[in-house]
Amino acid sequence: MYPLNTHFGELLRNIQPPKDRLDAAQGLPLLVRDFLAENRDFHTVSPHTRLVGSYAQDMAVGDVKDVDFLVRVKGDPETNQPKAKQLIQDLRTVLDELPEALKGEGFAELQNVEVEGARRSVHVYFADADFHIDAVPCIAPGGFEDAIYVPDRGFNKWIPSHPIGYIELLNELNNQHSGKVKKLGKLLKHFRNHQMIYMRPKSYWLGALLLHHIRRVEGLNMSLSLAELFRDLLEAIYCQYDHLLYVNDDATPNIPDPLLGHNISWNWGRNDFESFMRHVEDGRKWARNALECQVREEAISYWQRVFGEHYFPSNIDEAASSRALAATPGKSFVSTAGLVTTSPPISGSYVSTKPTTFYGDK
Amino acid sequence: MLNLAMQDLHIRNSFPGFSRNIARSTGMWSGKIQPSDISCCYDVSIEYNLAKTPKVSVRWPTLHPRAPHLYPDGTLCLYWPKEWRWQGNEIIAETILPWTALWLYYYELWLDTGYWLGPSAHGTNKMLSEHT
Repeated sequence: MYPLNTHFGELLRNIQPPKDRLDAAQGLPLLVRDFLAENRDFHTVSPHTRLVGSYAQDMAVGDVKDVDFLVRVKGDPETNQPKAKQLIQDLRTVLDELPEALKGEGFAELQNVEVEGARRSVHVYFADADFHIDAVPCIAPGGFEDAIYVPDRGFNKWIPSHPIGYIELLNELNNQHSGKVKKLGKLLKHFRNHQMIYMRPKSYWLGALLLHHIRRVEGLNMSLSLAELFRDLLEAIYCQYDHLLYVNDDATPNIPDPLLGHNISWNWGRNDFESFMRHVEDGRKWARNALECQVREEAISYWQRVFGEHYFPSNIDEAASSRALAATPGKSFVSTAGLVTTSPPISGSYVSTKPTTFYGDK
Repeated sequence: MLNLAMQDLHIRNSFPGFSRNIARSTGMWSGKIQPSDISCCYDVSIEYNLAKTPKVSVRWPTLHPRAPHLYPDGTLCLYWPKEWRWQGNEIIAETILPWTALWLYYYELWLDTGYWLGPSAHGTNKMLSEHT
């Protein structure tokens, strides 16, 4: 079996968002935050805003040009105060002043800012950076670390959500499993993006499925390699829902929210679900074949069908050489879990490696 | 010379995932090593008789039948005896165990490329010299 770790390492590098996007996702929300925090016409509650979504989760793949951004306001979701619809209009009115304010602050490179209202958010487009911010107002009675309330799409009411709880859970599981959870999540999202142009399931649904299969009893064996985990994740998703394809013509999965438990995939259309399952079925067969191959090149070719040739490289000689040099005995470090690193791990104890030369049969 | 209890103390301090199976005059430790953040966790065992050199085996997953740098009994060749020799005052947790992690790291690169890219008593790999 060829786990092809260097290839998977390069795949993960190839699906990372470009650096300018990462910079925009980090910098632009701070400008909007400062503008809203200082604004007297629209009252926000400290800490005013919070980045959520794939950039905040460190789960963004590809050229993601938008971030979700929570704007905390005072209110009571039970009595629908303030009215969600009205609040979005008010937020829009205030954000309309953002371009002028940015000019006044001397952000010459951010001259073209477009603001438009959406059903549950206000959309701010920084044309010069080609980057979008979706500002979603929220009522957070216990702060962002607790369940919050956001406007429902299309309805004038507040519904519960727990995006920070989700990020914390993701981080916790990721730390527990040596960083494999987020990597696996990124592979699943990239698989969806590569295989499906239309009818894509939402990222949050995929994230919920991932967490479900890691946390459930007899769930994924996280001590396996990333390649094997990806195969097992597709197998698990397929086996979880394939019965729905046969029970009747309109059944679709009810994916529970990992934090709050409600059905988050209530609007998953049957055709879209069937399309997803067809791709999962293909993907799991290719992944299984790849891991059963006795010839490396054949394994690479199967993985390229799963993730795309452009992303899953055939030639990793340069990457392998630089990884080899980085681990040179006498210069590298080993963590308590056996992880080989080029610099001492940030936390936890470690051992500095001593020089050695491997011997034995060629 | 370090006795088995001292070796055990060092191992459990530096690699808390390893535990010792008690045997009379032989130290047997087993635990997991994950050499990179996308690797599997290898199930590794170390056998050390005070009169001999420590022997390291990978119990799971099964190593490739043509994996290099193995002794005929399947244990890992972690050092070149011409260059370095085991002595009773050496600490397993500072030598044998970190080298095991490195061996596994280079083994995975060997699986990916077909070349052993770590330091080798058999000479530097051509691919490595081309890319450096």
